[in-house]
Parts: sequence; structure tokens; C-alpha cells
Amino acid sequence: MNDFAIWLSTTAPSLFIQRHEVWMIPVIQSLHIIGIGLAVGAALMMILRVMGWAATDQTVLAVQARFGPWLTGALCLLLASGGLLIVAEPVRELVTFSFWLKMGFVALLVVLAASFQASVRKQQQRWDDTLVRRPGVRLAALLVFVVLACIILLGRLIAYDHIWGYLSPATKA
Amino acid sequence: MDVSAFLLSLEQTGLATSIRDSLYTFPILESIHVMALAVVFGTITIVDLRLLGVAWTHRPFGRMSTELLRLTWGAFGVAALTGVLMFMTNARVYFHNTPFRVKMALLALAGLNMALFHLTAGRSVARWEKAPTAPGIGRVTATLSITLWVAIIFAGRVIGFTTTGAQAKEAATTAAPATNFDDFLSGGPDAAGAPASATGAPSDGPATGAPDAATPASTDPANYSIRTIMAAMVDPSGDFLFESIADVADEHGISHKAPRTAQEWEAVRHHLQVLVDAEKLLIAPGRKAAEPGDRSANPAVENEPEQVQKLLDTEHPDFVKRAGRLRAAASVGLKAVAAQDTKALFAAITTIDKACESCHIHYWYPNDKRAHQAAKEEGGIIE
Repeated sequence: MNDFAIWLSTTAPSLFIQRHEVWMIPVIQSLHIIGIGLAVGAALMMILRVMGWAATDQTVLAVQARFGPWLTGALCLLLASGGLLIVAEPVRELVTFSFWLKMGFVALLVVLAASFQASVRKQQQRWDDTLVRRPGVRLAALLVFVVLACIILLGRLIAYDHIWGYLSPATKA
Repeated sequence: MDVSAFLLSLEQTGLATSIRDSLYTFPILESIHVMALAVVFGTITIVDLRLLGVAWTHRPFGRMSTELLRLTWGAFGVAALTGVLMFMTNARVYFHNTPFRVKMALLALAGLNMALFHLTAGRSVARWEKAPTAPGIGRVTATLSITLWVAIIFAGRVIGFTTTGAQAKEAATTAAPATNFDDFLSGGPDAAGAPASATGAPSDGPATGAPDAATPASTDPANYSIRTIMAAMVDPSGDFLFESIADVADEHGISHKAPRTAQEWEAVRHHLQVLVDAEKLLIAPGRKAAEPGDRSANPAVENEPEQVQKLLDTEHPDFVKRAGRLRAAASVGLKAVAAQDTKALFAAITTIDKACESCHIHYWYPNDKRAHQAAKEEGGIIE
């Protein structure tokens, strides 16, 4: 991975961003944070609806229809801006423990979000009538929030990967 | 009390010191700050898009905004609290940082914008809350709100990019007028009777009256001391690193010294690797502080070898933690070398400096007021 990261940092797109890094990196990172805000807002509304803490005057399907596409859109923005950040600073991103653990949580979140949305579309009535009352379902919603929090935490920790000590691949670089 | 004295006193509070001091606290505060601002921005955007008639237009405005703004304020409180804590750790740098000031001004504008909404469209919510869009002024404030918050996020992110440099530069110019860290590495106390490292730069292992030459090393911890490892490995490599990169401030202004050729980068990498590997040697169980017969050269401020030994014996986990800081900072340096990032390398070497000095102050010259003061002024780790 180290070799790949170093190779990537010598490619034309990477060099282009590096030449303009003074403004490009903060701009891309800000877009990434805006994406995080949109994703958190959308996910939080669906989570709170399932937990019965917000938008209880709306059906679960209505809340999913309002926020599902925004969550998907925000995830696309995150993927695009995140991809650019990797191209811009491959070693900083890829040679870290935080990044790979974060990717694991991102994959988990994508699976959870996709299966939730598909399930709501397929079994609208069941979600409103029984599922939202089940403690297990509410606990699962809470866990999705924890996954989201872990993703944000690990994203920020990419810049501080040394806190992982020997787990950080940079230690063996 | 004037502003700079106040800012300095913030930096010197026990709270700010313990945050600076910990490897984990600042990154975690920053992460919580990002989570909180994500909730603030996410919920505000939902409300603004409703006002603009973009999304959720069939839902009455009143109930949704009450529901969401509770979350917004809760998260804003968390963001403000974590923000204040981060500010305290380096108050003087943040206070004079332009992006920081811009961000604070934008936050004030966002507050005014919110007040404007509540004084206008907000007063007649009952009349329009079922309509798909808010009245004109409501849409204007919604647009301003989204714009201001995007700008706040951008300004906030830029703070991180501009303060790290400021910090490094400040440390470099205050720590060393000629900014050659090597000046402080000649070791041992200077003629004035205080350790040379009073300026905050690292020095070699516990100073003793013994000659500086390395004694023959063996792999058995009983056979050679921390002092020897310092003299033979850590000090020369630290020496090399501090010399390899610096902001040199002289009558010609500030110029930058950094590795340029492949060979120079490679040499820096070797010395960082030495520091990474030194950790294991330093923390080996049974390792003695100094060689038999070593004495402190300046007992007024320095611990004698047996005092150092006692500290090592009673708080070995603490020593392991401090040695870990050296290794962690050197590892970050290796990453900077892999990316040939001189800014990151400078920051890593500054951190190595602080790791050395904080450990030296604790074990070697705890009574050196000058070293304490210098470390404090440079945002070093004191514990």
C-alpha cells in the first residue's frame, strides 16, 4: 500500500492538486464536511423517526422518501470528495490505521442504510405498525448512529494516526 | 488584565495543559467538534430547505422546526464547548489567526440572521406554515443561513492549516534566534549553571560529570544505561534532525532550511528510524538510568542518577508513555518523509523536541525553572 500511495502521489492529477494545495485541500475537505453534515442530518432524521423521537406525525415511508435520496446523494458527495483527498495526499490517507478502519465502518453503514431503505419501501405498513415499537429495532437505529459517529471520529483521526501506536502502518514505514 | 495576558493565562490553566499534554484529548475534541457541527449544519439545512420550498414542503413548518432546533441548539452547545477547549490550548495563536476571526464574525452574522428571521417571518409562522414556501424574507434568511454555515465550515477548516504553521514558526523563532537547534544539544549545563536545554530544545541524557563518549553497548539492559543510549543514539540523531529543518530568522528575514535532495531525505529517514527504534531500548525492563559512578553536574537543578533511578522504578509506565511519545512523533516524521512534506516534517520534529523536553524536565532537571517556563511558553508538555 505504501508503494501504491507513493506511486499515486506522482501521478498527474495528484501533482495538480498538490500544486494548488494551499486552497484546494481546504476546499475539498470543506466539501467533505458539508457532505458529512448532509448525511448526518438525513440519517439522524430517519434514526430519530424509527426511535419515535421526531417526525412521528409522518409515516416511516414518508421520512425515508424525504431523506433517503439525500443520504444517498450525500454519500456520493463524500465518496467523490474523499476520493479527491486520497488522490491529493495518498500517503497521508492510505498509510493509516484510521483510514482503513473508517472504510470498514463506511461499508457497514452503506449496507445498513441500503437494507433499511429497501425494507421500508417493501414493508411500509409493517414498519409503521409493529417494527418501530420493537426495542431491538430501536436499538439497531441507535447502533447506526454509533457507526456514523465512529466514521466521523476515525475520519478526523487520520490526521493523528500516531495515537494508534503500533497499529498505525506509518510506524513500520 | 490585557488580552494577551488573559490568553496566556488561558493557555496556562491546568485544563489547557492537560489537553496539550495528552496524545488523545485534542484529536478527540476535534472529532466531537466535527460531529456536533455536522448535526448543527445538517439540521439547519433541513429547516432552510423547508423554508425555501425545496424539500419536505408538505410538512407544517412550526412542528418540524421546533423538533429540529432542539437538536441544533444541543449540538451547538457541544460544538461551542469543544471549540472553547481547543482554543484554550493555544489561545494566543488562535486569537491572532485571521481565519479564526473570520469564523467568529461569520458565527455572529449567522446569529443576527437567525434573529432577523425570528423578528420577521418567524412571527407569522401560523399564517404560512402550511404553504410550501416561506414568505420572501424567510427565503432570504434561509439562503443566507446556508451560505453563512458553508463559509463557517470552510473558515474553520482553514484554521487548522494556518495555525500549525504559525505555531511551528513561533517555536522556531523563539526557541533559537539563530534557529539552529543544535546549539542546545552540546549537552550538560552551561556556564551559568542551568542546563543548556533551558531553552526548550532537547538535550542528551541525564548529564553527568562523566565523559560524553558512548560506552560499549550490549543488548543486556543491565549492561548499559539510558544515559548511554541517549549519548550514543538518541542525541546524535536528534541533533541531526533538528539541524535538518528550520525556519532561520536573522537580519535577512525568515528563510527555510529543509531536505531537498533524495540523499538528504534518506538521511533524515535514517535518523527518524533510529528514534523510532530507540523506544524499545529505552523502556527495556531493568534498564538503569546511568552508569555506575555517574554524578549530576549541576545538583541545584538536576536530579542525581539515583533520584532518576527511583523515579524510573516507581513510575515505569509513565516513562514508557513518554518514550512512546518520542516514537510516535518520529513515526509521524517518517510519514512526512515518505510524502516529502517539509511542513509536516517540521511539525513532527517540533513534537519530537517537546517529547524530549517534557521527559527531561520530569526525570532529569525537575527543579529548572527556566526550562519549565520555556516549555510552557512554547506549548510544550509539562507533567
